[in-house]
Amino acid sequence: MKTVFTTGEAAEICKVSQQTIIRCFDSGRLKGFRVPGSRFRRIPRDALMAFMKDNGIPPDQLNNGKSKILVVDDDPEIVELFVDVLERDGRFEVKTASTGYDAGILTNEFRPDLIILDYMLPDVNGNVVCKTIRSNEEYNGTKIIIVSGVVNQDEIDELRKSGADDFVKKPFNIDKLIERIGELLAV
Amino acid sequence: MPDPVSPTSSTSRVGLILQQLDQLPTLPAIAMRVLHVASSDTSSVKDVCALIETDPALTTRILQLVHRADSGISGEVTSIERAIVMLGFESVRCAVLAVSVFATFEPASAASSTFSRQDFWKHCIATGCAAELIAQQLKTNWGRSAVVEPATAFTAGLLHDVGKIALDAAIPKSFARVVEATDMLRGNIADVERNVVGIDHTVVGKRLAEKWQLPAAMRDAIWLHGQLPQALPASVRNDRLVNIITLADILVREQHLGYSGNYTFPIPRQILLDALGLLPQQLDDICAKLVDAIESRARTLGLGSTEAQDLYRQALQQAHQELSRVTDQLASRNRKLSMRAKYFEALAAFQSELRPDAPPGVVTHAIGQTAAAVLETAVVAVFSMPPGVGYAEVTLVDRTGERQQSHLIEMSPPVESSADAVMPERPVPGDGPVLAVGPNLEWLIQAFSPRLAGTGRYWICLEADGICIGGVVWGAEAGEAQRLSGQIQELSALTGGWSLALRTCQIRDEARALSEQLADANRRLQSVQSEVVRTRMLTTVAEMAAGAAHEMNNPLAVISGRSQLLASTLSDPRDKRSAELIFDKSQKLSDIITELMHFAKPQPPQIAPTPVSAIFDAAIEQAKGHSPIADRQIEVRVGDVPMADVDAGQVGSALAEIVLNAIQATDPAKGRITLTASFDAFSHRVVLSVTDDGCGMDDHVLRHAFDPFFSARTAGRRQGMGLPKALRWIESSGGSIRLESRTGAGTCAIVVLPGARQAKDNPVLRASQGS
Repeated sequence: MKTVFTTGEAAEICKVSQQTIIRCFDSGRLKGFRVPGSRFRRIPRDALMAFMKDNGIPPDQLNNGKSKILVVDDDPEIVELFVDVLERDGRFEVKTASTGYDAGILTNEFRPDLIILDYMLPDVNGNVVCKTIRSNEEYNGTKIIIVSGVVNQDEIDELRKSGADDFVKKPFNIDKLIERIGELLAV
Repeated sequence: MPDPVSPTSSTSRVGLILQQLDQLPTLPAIAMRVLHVASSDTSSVKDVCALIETDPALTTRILQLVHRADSGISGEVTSIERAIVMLGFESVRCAVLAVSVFATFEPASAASSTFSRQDFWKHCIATGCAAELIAQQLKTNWGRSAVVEPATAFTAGLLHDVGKIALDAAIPKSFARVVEATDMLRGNIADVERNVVGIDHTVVGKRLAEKWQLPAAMRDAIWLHGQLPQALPASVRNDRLVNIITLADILVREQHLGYSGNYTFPIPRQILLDALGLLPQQLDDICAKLVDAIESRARTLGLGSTEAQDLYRQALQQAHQELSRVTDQLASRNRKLSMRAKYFEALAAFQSELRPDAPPGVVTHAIGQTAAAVLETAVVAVFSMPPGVGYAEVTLVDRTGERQQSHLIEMSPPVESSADAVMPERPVPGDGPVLAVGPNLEWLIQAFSPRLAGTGRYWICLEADGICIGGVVWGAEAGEAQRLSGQIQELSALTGGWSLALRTCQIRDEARALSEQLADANRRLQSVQSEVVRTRMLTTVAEMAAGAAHEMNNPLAVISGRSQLLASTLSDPRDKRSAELIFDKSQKLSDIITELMHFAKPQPPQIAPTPVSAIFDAAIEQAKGHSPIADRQIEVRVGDVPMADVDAGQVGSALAEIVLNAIQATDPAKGRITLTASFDAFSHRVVLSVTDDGCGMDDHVLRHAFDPFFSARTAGRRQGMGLPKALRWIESSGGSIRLESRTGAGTCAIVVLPGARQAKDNPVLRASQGS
């Protein structure tokens, strides 16, 4: 995945002129760096995304127009079900993990817009994963939906405190789930 | 009692006595001579006659004796020779012998002060006379086969106790002791003789008879008289003579004629009568003739100073003296016995009153009745004070036996006790059974004194292990202790019995109380245990449900998800519908699991004051959502009831389950369901009831109504979680449910909820509840 953009590439993604990008870069509104030993400007992916978000520029061009969703569950059939459901919708790019550890690595690498997180994972519980992600400001924009078979109001309240955006009980209604994801990502 | 004599000293003393006997005077030569002349030897008889006639005094006496003995021919007997012709040599020989023996032991030579020779001889003569009369009677009965000549019988009777006189002559001091001891013991003189001197008068008499060379029959009569006819040795030649003497001796002693020194009658008369062939009537005749016979003989033998009347009088006097002595003894014994009888009667009455399981009240009443009887008072108060308790139970008992009420008197002082109230304290046992009431019984006296007699107050302490466990209190005049002093022993024994009975019933009472406490504790434990079992069951269900929720929800999620995906891709409406059905049912399964979890681990209640009407409204609304009301009538009656402190949602849902059950139990067309609310001010609880006139439940259903997944409907069953959930919810709000039902008569569910704490005093809450 492309992580650093030139001012020309950024202008194309943002559908503005290169001059505008350069002006914003120079004024500091668009974060970036110069290539050492030269005057060439370079813009990291995160900085570009932040810039686009700040200025209300649709991010479609950045991810081929798709929201990135990470599905974390130790049950492969559940994972497969989520993948089928989300890909069938067409608006999402999906990656999967089966442990909390994998989930951490993939979050850092894939930078998902939304994580569907099973509460009962083989290594750590969903609320721990949730807390870890929330403790990093880099992922402030990442939405988290926790999925569990056990429904207990106290536990749900606890999960919300840990930073989960929503809770879905297994088994779930597919249509309602997609609807909720759409709301959270505002796509 | 005389000192026991050791064998050696006894033997030596016997030897000494026998030696002394040897020194006793022998019979006069004339008597010896007479004894040894055979009646057939005519020449010798003539010699003897001559010999007798040389002693004029002897001649006179013998003639008189013979004359009296056989009055029919008396006039013709004027000489010894004539007497022998008329009466036979035997009679004369006896007369000589008798006179000689008397001459030997002169009455005047009496050495012992206690042994009256005069009276003793009277006994001997009387026995001789009686024996003679008996022999005469036997002769009449049996003719010549009677064997015993009356004259011989007389002599044998006369001499039968010769051993006594010999002992008196030989060892006067020892014999005096024998007589004293026999007098005192009123026993058999022969036993005392053997104890004191080592030999008895019958043996001494035998020795003397041998020394005097008396005929063998006479010797045996002296030796063996007083023995049972059956016990006589086979060697005895003339046992009939022995039996005649024994009978005569008994007869004379019974008539109190003279003094024998003996007090016992070891052989029943009848045995001797049978042995001799004599009729009781004949014996009575003999008795009638006896006194006259004695008088004449006594006079003849130089003891004739006593007239027949005198003899009677003396006999009567003696009999009277003896009788009065016996009467005195009997009277004192009688007094003692009648007093004891009183106690025995009381004790018997006491025991008849008692049952093995008698409560203390009955026992104290029984004690009171016996106490009133033996103390001879009208009213007694009996108190029971088991060790270690703070009260006394007092029973007032009337002698009429009417049971009075028992009163409990507390020993621990109440908080607001008036200053003059006397608190019972445990009295302490005293020295004797009869105690004067002291200050430690003031509490009882204060309450019951007016009912008691007299001015003095007395009590008997009933104690166990040295502790006073109760008492008998009565009233009497002063000197009561003195009056009862003669009955201390009996009173103590009775008191012991009372104490035992009272303590026994107190212990039984304590045991009963203890067993009741135990049973109560057991009951409580049982209910706690069933609660523990129920809690454990719910915990298990919760754990199972939680595990199932996790394990089952993943597959369910796959089933549900895949069926939804299928439904969206399938074009055939029937296939589409099947897929949707799979989705629905997997969702339903998931709901059941969730419900089970909620049942096992309910949400913590949000307790808040809630109007009862709101609970009812919510309940009916929810129930309607599950099952249509149709034409059933639902009546709600809520009186002036304060709010309930409950979780409105949970209790509302619980009530909804109950109402739903009522709806399903009733006829859709005319079913009637009544919801009421009332307030129990005492326990500060709100009582709701849901009554229906539906099909009701049988015992089996009623017993399992609150079990999870139990359902009375075998076909078309619901989940069977309605009432169990209702119970959980109501319990978590601090309430309870009770079901009353009968098949065909409908069901009544009573739900008790805690009343709102401030509701009673808070008009605002009351107003809001009313709206």
